Amino acid sequence: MEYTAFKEALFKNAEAFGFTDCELYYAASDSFTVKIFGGEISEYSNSDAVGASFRGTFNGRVGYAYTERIDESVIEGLVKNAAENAGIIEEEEIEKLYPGDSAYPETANYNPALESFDAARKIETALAMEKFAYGIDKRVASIDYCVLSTDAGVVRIANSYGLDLTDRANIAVAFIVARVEENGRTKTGYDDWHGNDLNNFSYEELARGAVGKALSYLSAESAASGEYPIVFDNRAACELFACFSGIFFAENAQKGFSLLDGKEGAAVAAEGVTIRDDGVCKKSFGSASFDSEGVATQNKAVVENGVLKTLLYNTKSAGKAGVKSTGNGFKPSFRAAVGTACTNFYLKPSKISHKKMLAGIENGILITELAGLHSGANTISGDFSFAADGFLIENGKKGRAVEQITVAGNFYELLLNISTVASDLRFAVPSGAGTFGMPSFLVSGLRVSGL
Amino acid sequence: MIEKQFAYDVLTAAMATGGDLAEIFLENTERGNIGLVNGLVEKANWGVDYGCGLRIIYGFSAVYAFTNKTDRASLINLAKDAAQAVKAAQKEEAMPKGVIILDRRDRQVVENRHSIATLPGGVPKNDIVERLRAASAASKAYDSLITQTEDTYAATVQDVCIVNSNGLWAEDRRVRTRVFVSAVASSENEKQTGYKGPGAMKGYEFVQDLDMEELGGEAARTAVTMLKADLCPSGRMPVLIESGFGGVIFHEACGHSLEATSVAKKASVFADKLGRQIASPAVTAIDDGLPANEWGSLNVDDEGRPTQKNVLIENGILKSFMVDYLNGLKMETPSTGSGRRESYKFAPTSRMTNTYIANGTEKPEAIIADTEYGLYAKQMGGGSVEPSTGDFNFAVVEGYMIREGKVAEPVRGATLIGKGSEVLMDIDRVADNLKLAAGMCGSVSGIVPTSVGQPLIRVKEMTVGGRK
Repeated sequence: MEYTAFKEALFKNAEAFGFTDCELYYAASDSFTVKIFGGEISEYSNSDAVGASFRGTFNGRVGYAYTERIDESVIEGLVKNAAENAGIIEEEEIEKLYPGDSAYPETANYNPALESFDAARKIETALAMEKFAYGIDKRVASIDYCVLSTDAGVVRIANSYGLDLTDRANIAVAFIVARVEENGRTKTGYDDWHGNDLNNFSYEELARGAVGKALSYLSAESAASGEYPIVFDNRAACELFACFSGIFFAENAQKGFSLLDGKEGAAVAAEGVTIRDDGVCKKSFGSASFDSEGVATQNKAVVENGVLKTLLYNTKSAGKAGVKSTGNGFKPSFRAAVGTACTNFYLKPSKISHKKMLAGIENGILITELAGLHSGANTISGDFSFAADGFLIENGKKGRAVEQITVAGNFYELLLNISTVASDLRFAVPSGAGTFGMPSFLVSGLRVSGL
Repeated sequence: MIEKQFAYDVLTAAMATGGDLAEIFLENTERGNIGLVNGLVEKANWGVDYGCGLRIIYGFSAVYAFTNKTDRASLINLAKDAAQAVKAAQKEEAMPKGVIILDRRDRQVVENRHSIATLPGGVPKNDIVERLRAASAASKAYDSLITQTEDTYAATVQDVCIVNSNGLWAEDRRVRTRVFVSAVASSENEKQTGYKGPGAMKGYEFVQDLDMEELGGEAARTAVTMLKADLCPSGRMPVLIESGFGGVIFHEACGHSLEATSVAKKASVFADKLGRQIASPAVTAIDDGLPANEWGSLNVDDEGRPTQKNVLIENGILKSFMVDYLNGLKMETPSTGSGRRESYKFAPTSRMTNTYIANGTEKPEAIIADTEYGLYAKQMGGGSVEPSTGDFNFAVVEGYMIREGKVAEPVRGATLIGKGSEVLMDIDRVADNLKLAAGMCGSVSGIVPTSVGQPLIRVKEMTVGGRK
């Protein structure tokens, strides 16, 4: 069934059932993936998927239901279940559909040229990438993963107030996991690339990155337990901030799940820390013209010189606080209810190079890999203890590799203890929680457990 | 879910360019969930996941495609496109192989081992809300330090139909229900969480049989205990890990490395260790997809093969891997009924079902009494592993120090790390109080429900990552 016909049939049925307003959120994607192993295509997939979520007001409350089956047969079930769901909602702050904004920012996340880069060329690129990676060093035992994927997506929001929005994006992602062996030791290295122009993609650079990382870890040993100055490199920093991004969401603060509640206007980070959330950022691929409620996205400072300027709001949390939505009312997938997410959330870089930042450290640890982020963090208290890999920093220089350590601390304290921010801002692959961009930074007072 | 002739035509189109096996995976999943925050309903959702995955295996490779459009023209087109991809990838032109589809009466039917009393679809939502509210109230009543509660209910009914060109035809219904009860205890500058998340392959009877007040109270007890706890010390020490979700240590430290997913490409520390000692003789470990109504069980796996009980490690000796069909071809090993996927959007690969360390003979109290100093991990959180190196980590949700053979003061914020091959050898004591617990496991074929389990075990020495 076509989108428009489905929408009209759904809205008609909902109005007849007694819904006073309604909305259809529709997401469609075309995805392509090729995985290479041992010079052969080990997996190839080319797929399309759609999903639609219905939301509407019934007896003054908003109810939800969703479907991946876009045909007449599900409409009745959607409307009935959404009404039942509306019937049990008890929250004090009432969710409302959003009539729309007068203007929306333009995004440049869709590159038609990516669509003309055909499957055969993608396969050719992936095969060449694996072959090149094997040839970099004789200690390469295996390229465990060599993957190239592309994804093109459309999001549409239409409601009974006449709002009808469409946003398009496409992206290509490539990654390699290289496994190296020497003297009975095994190490792996991961590197990725993303963008929406495959003509700009250097698989040689990606392969060198992954293999180089794996090789650099071969010398790894644990480190003595103790307190160290810690540098998070820009990738590990992205993972760390992504893990704790929820503390900046007003809905979490209002429910008592963030210690930033009531801190707008107060110093929550070191003076050198400025964090922005930019809905439309040219350097990143997490841009959106509107959020999942149809609110236009914005470019705003979240933290400026250490002071918390604003939390991130959706319409419901904004209503509760008596402010306007910041355009951060995103759903993690079409299935879910409106929540909060970042757009392009980044720490403003300085002019200090990574190398120069290390130069001031006598005895520290550079962390390049974090593991266990989904389990090792208490996102409410801010406490964390993560498995980590990286390098010693000795007399201002990067030293031997470090493995089998944990790094532990508290994220709220970490924000206050960031003493230097470097210049090497790097954006990560977009995710459901937002797109994070971080330069490397130095923080004092974290606890390392090792030997 | 699909007519015989239709399936035949789709598979024939898929096999036209020389594939060795083609497979249809049709899925219709209804999901409902309700979430309360501080005792009030904040979220309620219901929906349908629906689509078809098509896989063509040729040699040791596979082409995978999926779509939500399951009309004849769409599925035949999907099959034709996938077949073209097979053709493009092959170096030599291959002759099409035949497609076998059995009549209904000739198909092998796997007996349903999981009786369901009440399907989630017809349950009054108010009843669910009242039960969740009881858990929330019990959490708040436990201690005035409890400032927030979150209580959720989630139920799924997944219907699948798997048909392949070798004559396999399997249908299965998986009904799963889970509740998640959590409580936050707060002091002026500190917040700690406690939770309980039981689940089963059952209908609403699972919730009716739960003592929601006890769950709410338990979650609150953990939160309050941890709020008052000191920071965990860091360094190497003996670690005792309690039964139930403590089994996450085996899941991470070893389980993933025994999946054919990493073994077939020799990207596992255990790849060439079959028949060799990889764990201390105290350790026997099992992956069992059979137990009735257990969270991680299945009648048939997502390739349509009956699940089974696989003894992975017996008295420390590696006996078996967990194998799916395609990786089994590479390893020259038959499937162990371990092919799983989150949904039709994922190609299946080998995954765990209910994975646990078997009972030893000692009483848990005896092992504690015999430990001079160490960490007692009463409740574990999640973790992760890098299978090729065996480096793993997982979090301790509720921990205590052991001093002079007794459980002493509570400690918070600990993560345990190590290497799978080392920690298995260092398990020196295994108790007799085996329990399983529900979890969700993420890997290349998506997020699937798995159970972990063990009796209380002792690891001679591990790196404990605390903040002190």
